[in-house]
Amino acid sequence: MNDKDMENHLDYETLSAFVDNEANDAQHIESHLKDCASCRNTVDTIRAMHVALHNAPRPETNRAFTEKVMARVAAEETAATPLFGHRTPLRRYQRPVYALAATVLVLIAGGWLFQAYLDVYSGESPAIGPITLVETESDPAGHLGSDLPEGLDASLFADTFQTDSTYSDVWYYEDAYLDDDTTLLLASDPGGYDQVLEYLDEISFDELLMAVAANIPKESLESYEYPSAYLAQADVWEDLMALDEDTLQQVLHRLDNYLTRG
Amino acid sequence: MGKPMTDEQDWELVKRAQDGDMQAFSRLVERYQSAVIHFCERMLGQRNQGEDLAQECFVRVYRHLHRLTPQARFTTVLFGIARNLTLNALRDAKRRGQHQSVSLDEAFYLHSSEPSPVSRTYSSELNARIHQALDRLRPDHKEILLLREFEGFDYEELARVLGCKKGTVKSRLARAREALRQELTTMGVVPNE
Repeated sequence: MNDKDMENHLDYETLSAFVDNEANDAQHIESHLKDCASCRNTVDTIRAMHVALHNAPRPETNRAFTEKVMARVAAEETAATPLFGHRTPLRRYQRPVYALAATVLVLIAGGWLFQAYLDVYSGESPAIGPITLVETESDPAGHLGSDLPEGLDASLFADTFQTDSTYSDVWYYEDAYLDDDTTLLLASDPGGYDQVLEYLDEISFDELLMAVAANIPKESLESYEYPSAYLAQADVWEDLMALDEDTLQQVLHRLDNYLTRG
Repeated sequence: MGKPMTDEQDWELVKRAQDGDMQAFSRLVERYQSAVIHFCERMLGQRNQGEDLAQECFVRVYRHLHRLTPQARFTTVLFGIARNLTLNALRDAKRRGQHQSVSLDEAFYLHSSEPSPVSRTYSSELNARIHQALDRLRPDHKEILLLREFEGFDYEELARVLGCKKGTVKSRLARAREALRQELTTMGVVPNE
């Protein structure tokens, strides 16, 4: 290797991208590699690590695993139906109204819930901006269909994810734990709450409480310090977020008491 | 460029499952269980818990089935969920003070505790111990390596799953590889560069 090569080694990122066929100037890199043993060595190591990882054995397909999943799915199908009874589709003209109402409720509830989180896990101040009223589609991240709608306040995301993050975590974080991502979740998918709203007047507080609690496997709660945090992780968001602020506060408070009793 | 055949088949199965065909969903579970279990186990460094989480991952897919549309490879949705579940589990464990940095492979490499001599012909040792090194990495490094090297996600798909820009994928992947190489160097498996 000559002196010029020594002075102009390609950086690790460039060589890493080259191995993946994602480099911008592959010809230049190939040409450099012919003369530079050090960079060639780096590329060889990256390739060797790739081969070693790629060829490693994986778990064998296991019929029992499939059966367990299918049993759980079947159990959920059975359990999910009676929660809000029979659902009637909304009339077309009702949908925007309910969707907007749901958005407002969701954001109000989100603000309160986030404050509740701070109360519970006190000591760490939130790194998240003020909640802005936005109406999003069901998949603002674009994972499942639509693009992020204009007007969604990017400041919501600014300190929660890395600054170079895009919005594509939103959908996936829908089920995330109660953390400073909470407000994102609430803004992410107000669509779909309309049917819950429709039934709000028809169910009592205790019915809801028990329905929510019944959806949580007891064993899943054992390791949770705060059951309400588990609720946030479970798929009961839609039920909880449809409540008004006062009721939601009551639900979580009573659930924490109820679920920690036994 | 058209989507890979397997992806079209995946979405066909999703569509059938959306129509109530449980057998179709069961085939999806069979098709991807090995990859998802492997991913979860590697992320957590624990075998049993990894399988539990993989189960949960498929259940979540089922719950969201009605919302899935073939805008991206099915596996980016699947591993996006798996990724969040594992990160949540790691954070929960940390919150409870139960975070373990034990390598999944330590139990399987009882006879390889002696550091290997540094050698140019390191491939067999590398194959044997790379997971031990992988298990020592930070979660964000581990996940990107698993998705790239095992699942073969390209940069665009990685960006989608990880929720970042393509440029970030490029730099994060390079840092992850460098971290892996450093671990392997410390273990005496690959020579210092």
